[in-house]
Amino acid sequence: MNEYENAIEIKDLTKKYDGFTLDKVSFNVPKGSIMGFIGQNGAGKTTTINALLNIVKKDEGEIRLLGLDHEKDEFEAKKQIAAVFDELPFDDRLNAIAMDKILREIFEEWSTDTFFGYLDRFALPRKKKFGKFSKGMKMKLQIASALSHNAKLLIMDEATTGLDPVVRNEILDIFLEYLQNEDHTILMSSHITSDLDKIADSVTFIDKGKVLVSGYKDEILENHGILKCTKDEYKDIDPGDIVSARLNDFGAEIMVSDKAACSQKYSGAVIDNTTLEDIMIYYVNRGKKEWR
Amino acid sequence: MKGLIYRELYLIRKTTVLTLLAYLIFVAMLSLVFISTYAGNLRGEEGVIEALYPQAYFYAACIALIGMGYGHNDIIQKDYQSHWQLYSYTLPVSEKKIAASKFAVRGILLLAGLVLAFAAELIFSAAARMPVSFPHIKNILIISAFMTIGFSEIPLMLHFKNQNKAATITLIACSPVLIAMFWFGYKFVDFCRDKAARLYGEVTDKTMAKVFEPYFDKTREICFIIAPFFAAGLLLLFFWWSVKELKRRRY
Repeated sequence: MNEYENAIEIKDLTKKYDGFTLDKVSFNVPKGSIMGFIGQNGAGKTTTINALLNIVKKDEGEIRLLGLDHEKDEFEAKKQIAAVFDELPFDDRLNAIAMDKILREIFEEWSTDTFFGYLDRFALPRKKKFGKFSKGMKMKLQIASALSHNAKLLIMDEATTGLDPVVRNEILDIFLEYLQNEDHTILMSSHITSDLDKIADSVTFIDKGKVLVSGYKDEILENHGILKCTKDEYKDIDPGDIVSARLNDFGAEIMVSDKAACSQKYSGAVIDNTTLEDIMIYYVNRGKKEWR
Repeated sequence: MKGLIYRELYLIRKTTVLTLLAYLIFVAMLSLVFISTYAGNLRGEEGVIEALYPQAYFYAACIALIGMGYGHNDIIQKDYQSHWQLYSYTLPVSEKKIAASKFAVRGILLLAGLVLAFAAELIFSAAARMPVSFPHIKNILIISAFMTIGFSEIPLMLHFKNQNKAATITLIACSPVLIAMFWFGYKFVDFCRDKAARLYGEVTDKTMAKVFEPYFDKTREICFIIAPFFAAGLLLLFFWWSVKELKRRRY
């Protein structure tokens, strides 16, 4: 049995395209946890996930999945991995019964009972063609098939995008249930940071091909804060403490990356707690430093 | 691999049923024409069987062999559209197995087409009260072997992702060969016409047939020998090309 501490280990992953470079991306996803992978469109999330799955060839770097090399031991690793994309990758002419017959021949550990169990739980019809499924039904089906071959690692690329809050919540519950087994791990890329606020243990934030923040979510939220001050007070803030600042007619809201230090340094200043969405917005604007 | 084969067979079942329907209608209609020459309203009409029987097997074989492969042609395009092609890279299946599954399906369809073509010959010979023609059987085998060219659709579609684009590029690339074939055909008919006039003093269907037939028989014998090598060579080439295309993983 392969022993490993991190379900995903990425070190200095580099992939160059014309006009875009994934630049020495490094982060780990500890076994038994759920990591939120956030960033705006074109930040490099999908490229990173495709490199993980060896769908795109990396230029440099090392990737280990479940303790295995993602290229040399690709098929051994993929037996234990499930990928979920933002769109259902099954032909519209298929139905769940046919899909079960297909996937049980592909995955050694495929369980028809588990698959149909999820279908019943999600109230998905077995004989209806996928072309007639709604977006929510398609995503549930994809998750049902991803969870039916005893995968130890679930990799999701924008899987909850475009779903209504009720379905998203239902799916998040399934993920939490899946994580009850401490061998199970999830990497979840999403724009919807509120989902990750709810369930993620750790977060990696990528922008323009570079990892800006990576670590435990609670620590990241604890360390960052939004300092609110007047325009005059803003001038006295050390630029080294500022990630970026949103200016308005009355003053400034400044993202600081070391809340504790700033509370001491700027005693009397109000430093509010932040959210992943705030962190994403302020870091994306870090180049401008000041924005409205 | 069994799962991948099952998936493709499941997806082409509709076009396969339609092909079977077209084949059955064609075979039934022509058989009825043959039967009616001795048990129906064509009784006493001369030359019907002589005119139709030598060609009937060829059209039935074309319907069966082309029709069976037709449904498989657009699967790769639809796989790209439905993102299955992307998803297949997340499965614990190698590129060789993915390519092999596609070739296996294509092979099954070709084999099914071959069986249908043989069946048509048997049905026609029974309906026309003629002995089963060995040259016809040979021709069907030769046509089947040359149908392996259709396997090129797999690497071409993997490369171009789109059927129209693949067909256009193939037509452009093959146009010199097609033009050469037409030119050769035209010259050959000219040559036979001259020979028929020289040997028999007149150019009629019968004299032309007399001139044509030895060349056809010789060509058939040559094709019969080279066809298996041709088919095997093409299959190997297209399989290698397909694996190469799958390994490019252009996402």
